[in-house]
Amino acid sequence: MNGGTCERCGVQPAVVYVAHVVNGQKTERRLCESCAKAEGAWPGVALNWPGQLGQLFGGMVPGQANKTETNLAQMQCARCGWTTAHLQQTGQLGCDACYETFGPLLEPTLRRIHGAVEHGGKIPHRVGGALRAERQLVQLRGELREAIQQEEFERAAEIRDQIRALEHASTGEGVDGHE
Amino acid sequence: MNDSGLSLWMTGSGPDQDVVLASRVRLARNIHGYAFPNSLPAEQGEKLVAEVEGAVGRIQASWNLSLARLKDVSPLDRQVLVEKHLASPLLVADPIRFEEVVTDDRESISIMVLEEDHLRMQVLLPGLQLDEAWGVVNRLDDSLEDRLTWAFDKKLGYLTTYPTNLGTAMRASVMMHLPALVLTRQAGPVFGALAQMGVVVRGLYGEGSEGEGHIFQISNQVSLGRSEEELVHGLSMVAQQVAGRERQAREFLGRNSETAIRDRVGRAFGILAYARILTSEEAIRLLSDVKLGQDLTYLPSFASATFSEMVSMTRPGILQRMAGQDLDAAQRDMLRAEVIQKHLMRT
Repeated sequence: MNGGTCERCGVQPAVVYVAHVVNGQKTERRLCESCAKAEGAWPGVALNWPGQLGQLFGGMVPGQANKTETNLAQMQCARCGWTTAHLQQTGQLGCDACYETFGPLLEPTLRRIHGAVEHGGKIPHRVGGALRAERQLVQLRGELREAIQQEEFERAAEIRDQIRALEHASTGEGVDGHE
Repeated sequence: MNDSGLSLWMTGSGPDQDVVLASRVRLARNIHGYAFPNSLPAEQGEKLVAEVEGAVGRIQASWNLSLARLKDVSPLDRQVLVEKHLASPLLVADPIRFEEVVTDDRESISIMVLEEDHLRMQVLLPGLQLDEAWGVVNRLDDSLEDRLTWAFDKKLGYLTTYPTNLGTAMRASVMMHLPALVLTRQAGPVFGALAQMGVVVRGLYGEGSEGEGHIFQISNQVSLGRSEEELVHGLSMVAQQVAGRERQAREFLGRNSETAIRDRVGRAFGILAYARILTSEEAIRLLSDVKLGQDLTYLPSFASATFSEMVSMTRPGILQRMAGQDLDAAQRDMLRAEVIQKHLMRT
């Protein structure tokens, strides 16, 4: 069930398939006409780089377009070697560590696409233990405040015990216990 | 792959099936410590696939899973995987490395390995069953996570090759049959309104197949900032509203253009009943008209198949798979007419 909207702008319907094979590794993308033209992948249109390339991830700092472009061009992921040019050309990142390198650049785009920049869904069991506990602590502290306001001291004591147990567990595991 | 040729989402039944043919929830997952498929060195790819095979192997028996390395799958069977919506055209196009697809015996589950992300797992069910599909794929995700460490960031959520999939990395979609919205020219405005709500509309097999058989895929665009349950619930509501509009439009057609509609669906039925040569485009168009006739009770229901089955059986790949041999276009067109007639009417 693939196809859909353009993988570059995420807005227009994709009408062309663009395939690149580099060192035996294929990347294939579906683009709309205007993005394909912008990338020079539309028959008869010369590549215009970098002017139109960064439509999705370029021009992130209003009024500093030139400066930003220079900065972007210099960035590279220390882990996988992915560069800003890769990001601009493909709309993709190269590894999970890329999000640390390019993360701040993505925010305006994320906000535009999702209307949000923070995850509000499932947390994996394996790496999310500390985060789960954190979310639960926030919720319990809220409940504790409420219980005290309502003068339900017995319930407040129960919640306080739960909070202590959670805090103890997370320091015991040594995960973000200092936070 | 299931040898009988058909999947649960085609043969089974589910809520709102007069309009919602099938529901799908797909999660993208990448494994921590490996580059994404676009920049994964070959030896790392091999190692990653071995890890995935280990994780799948542990749950294989309980989930009834089987695994195929696409390099070893024939071009015909790869086409069948796409027609059944078990793999994407991108995954099967030209497998040069270790691309794999894992499916269960009912073909309601599929896991694509090394597509745009390391894993894309989906659950596909008949009718409107998005909550159920999410429930199953969520459990599948949990059981794979017993052995695999997902790339996850506490702010951005599950990390994906495309930043557009970040967060839940979830795409929920419904496959809807909307002939009356198209005939009453309401489809455009309705889809326009959906676009404003962060919902995307595409054709049966993605872009370029718009309106084929009046079948559309409607899915969430947003994946970050909301929980999976909220997104799935939101799309369910949208699907129910669209289904309501479609039913109203069907009633409207029955009330105001009964003769014209009876004529249209009757002609479609007549051609399907007596034609000897049918292309897949003609078949899907006429099957769609016949289904509208059935929903308006102007025509008898198919003898022994659902609409989804009928449409699927007439796809070039599945048709050849059922015939057990490669067929050229002319042979397929003849067999297609024969297969449709076999299932069209009770005799």
